[in-house]
Amino acid sequence: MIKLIGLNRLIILAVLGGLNLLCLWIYFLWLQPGTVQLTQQQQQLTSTIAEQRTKIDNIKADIILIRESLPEYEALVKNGFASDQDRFYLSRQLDMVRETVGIRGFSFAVSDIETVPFMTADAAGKKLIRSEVMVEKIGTTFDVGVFELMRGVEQKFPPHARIIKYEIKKSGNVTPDNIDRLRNGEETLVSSSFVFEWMTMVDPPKPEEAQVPGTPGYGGTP
Amino acid sequence: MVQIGGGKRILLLGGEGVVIYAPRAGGVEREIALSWEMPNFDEQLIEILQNQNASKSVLVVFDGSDQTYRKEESIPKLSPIDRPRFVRRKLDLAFPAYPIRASFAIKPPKKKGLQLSGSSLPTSYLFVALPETEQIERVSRALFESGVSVSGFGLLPLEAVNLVESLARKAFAGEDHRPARWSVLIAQHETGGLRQVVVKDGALALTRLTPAGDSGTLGATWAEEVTQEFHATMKYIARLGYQSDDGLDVVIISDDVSRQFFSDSGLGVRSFTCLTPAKALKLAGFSPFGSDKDNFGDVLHAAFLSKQGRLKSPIRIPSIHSIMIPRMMVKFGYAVLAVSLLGLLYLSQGAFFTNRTLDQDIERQQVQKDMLDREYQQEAVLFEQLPVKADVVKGVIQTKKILEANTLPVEGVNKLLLKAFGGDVYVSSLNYAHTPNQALLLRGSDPTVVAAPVDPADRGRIEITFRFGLSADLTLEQKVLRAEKLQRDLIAVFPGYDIRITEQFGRVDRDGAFTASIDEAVAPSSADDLAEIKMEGKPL
Repeated sequence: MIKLIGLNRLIILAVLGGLNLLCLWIYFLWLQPGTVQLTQQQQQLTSTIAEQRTKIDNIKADIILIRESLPEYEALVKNGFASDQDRFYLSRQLDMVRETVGIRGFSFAVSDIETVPFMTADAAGKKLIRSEVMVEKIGTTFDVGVFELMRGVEQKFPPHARIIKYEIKKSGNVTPDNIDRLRNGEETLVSSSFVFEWMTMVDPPKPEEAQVPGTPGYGGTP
Repeated sequence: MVQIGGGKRILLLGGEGVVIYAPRAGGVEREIALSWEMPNFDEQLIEILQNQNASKSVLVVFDGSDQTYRKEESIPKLSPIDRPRFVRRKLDLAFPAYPIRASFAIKPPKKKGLQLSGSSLPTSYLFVALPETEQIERVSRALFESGVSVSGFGLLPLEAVNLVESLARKAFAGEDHRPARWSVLIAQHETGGLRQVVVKDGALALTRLTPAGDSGTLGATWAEEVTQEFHATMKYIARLGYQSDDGLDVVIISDDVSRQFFSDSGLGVRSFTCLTPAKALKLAGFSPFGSDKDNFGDVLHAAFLSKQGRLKSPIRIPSIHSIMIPRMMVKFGYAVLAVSLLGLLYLSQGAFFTNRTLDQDIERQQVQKDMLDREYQQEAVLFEQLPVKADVVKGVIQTKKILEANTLPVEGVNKLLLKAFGGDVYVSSLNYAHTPNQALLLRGSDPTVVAAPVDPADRGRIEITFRFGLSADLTLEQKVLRAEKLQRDLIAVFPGYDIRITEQFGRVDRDGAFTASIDEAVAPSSADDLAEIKMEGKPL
């Protein structure tokens, strides 16, 4: 067979076959795996760079946001939006409103503090708490005083106060018999009450504090 | 052993010996002529085959006198499947004593004009047979021993058909010459004898090989012998149907001296020409070879076949075939492996450059990443120095905004109510309730309750109920009409609200039961009579 084909031909065939095998080895065992590995490495780097860029953009945006929003945030904190809902503090604040509005007085009752599940508060790592304050026996002769008091709560009370309910009922008319009592504030022509929610954002309790019950309800007369 | 470039070596095998021609630019060159009588013929042939032209494959062309031809025209109309079997059987019957047989279809001559009928299948066949001579065996052994590639085995007269036609056409071109149906090429061959190839309508009609006479292959005597042999050929072709109207072109390969002894009167034809081998080669489109004193025509066939590269009518000689096929397969293997190698090299270089580009990209990206890492670290330091975390600032401000959106200043609602009331309505009682956005609804103090996303458009609902009175001077109907007007005014001020009179003055209903007394004096209604309106809707 060797003589039929010829030794030279066989050598050339073997050389060509060997070169083919060498190229196959180079391509499939060296170049192609290298391409796969380098492609993966490049993709990983591209992804890391994109991620890093996003992080830098975010951090820059956050810095700008904080610098721009900090006065607003600090004003909210200063005005009490981040304060806990201490009942004596509440009483003092209501008295401050009463003085501002200029009415004789009223009584109030406040519910237990409750947590409102709130997504944006959670995102800030805070919790939104709420107390419901019911104001009644408002010492004003006419309904105008009631509205003034409600406006005072909305504007002067620490943020955030939100009137959710009010009730005003005419209870009498001005007559010669009651004019003196009305002047002295011993009698009113309206009976009224309103309820407002007091909401603030506070830090969530630490695990050991979470077991302690919230501040209980409270009532008083400023 | 690897053949690069065109051209084949031609080994002409005849009664006197063999002549080998090697391809060269524009034609062929004669390598050697070996006589069968030489004592070391086989060794010399092997040696010659293994010389510098060994890389070219060898085409063996038989020019001996042993070949036998028969034209078979009685082939019935058979299907393409049955026809080859039938022809094969006919061939076996025609030449039972010859071991080497072949058949070739003779295509009918092309006729001018449109042919409306007729099958594409050939109607006649040329049967060929030759014995397995010792000469063929010796050449086969030499081919085997030398290791050269073999391209095939052919018969010179069959392969010369196109050459004869082409040469005759070119030799008689431009002489106001009517194309002839018959052409004859007469040449003295170095392999032995005077070869006459007669072609009719593009197919081999007749071939004759007559041994050279004792007087040599040049001069007047040779010309005389050629003339006599041509006359004998004329007799044969007359039997084959030749008529003078058909036209006959005769080309004689002759040296410059001998040509003068040929004449049209002597040959008995008017259309004849004598060409030296060199002129014939030139006319056929090859480089001239040899001298004008030489009259051997083998070179013409060798040049033609070397350029053509393949045989028109290959014959299968078992001893040569068994050498040719393995060596051809090896050549095919070379081609496959070479193509595969080229493909792999192409792929490899592609992958190599891709990897290099990727490497460069990675290097560039690594630099970029390092820069970004440094930038991030710098920004992170700045961020850490801020008094509050961005999430806290964002969350607190966002929460405050949502709460504000869900807080309705009492004054705003009151102003709208006063706008609708007018001056004649006095309100006895007013109840107001605002139910906030679903997200702000208390779900208990359970810290595990998941907060719902806030819809900024949802500001909850408002419910207002008020009781009101009118002047006591008005009749009940006037009061009812005024209450209905107030309802319409409220609808205009609070669009989209559900506003209903839940209690009408005097508790009357326009469609319900009604009790009254008729008197001349118009009785005013009671001042304590009150109506009630209830409103519900989304905050404006």
